[in-house]
Amino acid sequence: MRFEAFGTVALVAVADPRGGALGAAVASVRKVVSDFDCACSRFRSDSELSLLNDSSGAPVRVGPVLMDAVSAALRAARLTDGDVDPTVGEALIALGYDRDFESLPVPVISRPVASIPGWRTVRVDPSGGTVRTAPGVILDLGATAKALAADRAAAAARDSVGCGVLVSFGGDLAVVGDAPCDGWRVRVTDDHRAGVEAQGQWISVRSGGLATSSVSVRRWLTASGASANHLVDPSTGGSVDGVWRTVSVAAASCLDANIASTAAIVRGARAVEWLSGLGLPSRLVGVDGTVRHLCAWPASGEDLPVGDDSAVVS
Amino acid sequence: MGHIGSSKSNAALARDAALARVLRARRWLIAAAAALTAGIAALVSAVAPGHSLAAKSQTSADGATASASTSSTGSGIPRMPTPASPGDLGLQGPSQAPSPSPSPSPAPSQAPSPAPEQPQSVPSQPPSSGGGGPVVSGGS
Repeated sequence: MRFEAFGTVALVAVADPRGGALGAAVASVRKVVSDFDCACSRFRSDSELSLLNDSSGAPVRVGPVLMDAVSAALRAARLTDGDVDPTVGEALIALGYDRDFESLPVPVISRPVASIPGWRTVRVDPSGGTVRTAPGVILDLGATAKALAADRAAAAARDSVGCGVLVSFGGDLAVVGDAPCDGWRVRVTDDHRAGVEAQGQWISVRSGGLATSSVSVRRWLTASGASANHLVDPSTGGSVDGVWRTVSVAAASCLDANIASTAAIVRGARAVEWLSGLGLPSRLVGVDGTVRHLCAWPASGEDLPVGDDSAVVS
Repeated sequence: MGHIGSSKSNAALARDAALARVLRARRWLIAAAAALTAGIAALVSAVAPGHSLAAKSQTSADGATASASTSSTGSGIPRMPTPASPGDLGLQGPSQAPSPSPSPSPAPSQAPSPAPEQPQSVPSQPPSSGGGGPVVSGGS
């Protein structure tokens, strides 16, 4: 079952030999989508996140979904030394990404960004149920909230139907329960909307999560003629313009996979050593179209030329 | 008479002084004994922790099971800290790495962008189907 969610294509599949489970699984997933959209959307004026972003530094009482999403975003920042930072909201707005991507004007009007406030300006009080940001800080939870939603949705669907479930939001997917005999077959490519004919690789996933981050999607031209994309380098405040076009990572959860794939794009060449150290199976596609496989990522079935290990500088 | 009286007085003074020394010595002895006892007790508790009268009586009554439970829950042994959750440990790898998957033949044509509000049904995948339907992981 496919439907639109979080500005992407959502997919729900079940490993149900008896049939009839898909409807209930989709209903569970839609509930999670609705909860996360109400809590975490930067583009809804009535979302909890919008209220927090308008709080001018005052503590804001939030619900459990936003509390978990902010906590997940701060964990991502901590584990990546700030390479995945939720305080890039103002930078994205300055780059022109201030509304749903499909609604962006052409060309996009952008302006310079002074600096990224940094994730340490965010204070979370789980016992009090409040979140506080420094005045002027705008949070964007897109990188991690969608992946967290995939994990939650897959778990909720599995609990609902009692069989193996795969949930994908924009190509970030979570797998729970018993997988089909040969695993969940997944086409890994640059754009989740591109379809299975696009250059990439077929792999089989049995557990955990798989996430793909890419600078080849959600790109736009600014009025100055510069190209921008949705992935912001917190150290510069500008769009990432690095060595990787697309990075896919498998991890124990979709959230962890998304954190690693996003950070890898930001880190550039340093990502190889980092991902290897973490032992996360990864596929990195350079801007030159060559690919690298790390940590037991399967080699066979790859459409793209596999690059020489020594070709990537560290 | 005066000489004899003076001698008695000196003897009494000497006796009183000796008694005072004995009393001081006894106080020092008691204090030293108490300090020595405390020191030995501290040394024993540091060298051989986990043994107490309660533990001995429980062990003798209930055997090995009681002894095991005592050693893990009480008797002055500090509890181990609660294990860190996976989220505290960092990014976790999958329990199973992705594996190669052959290309489906022929590959089913996939609509690149389904319209919103018009869900496209993908058949449920029985465990014997090998995963079935086209799932795409790509940038979004």
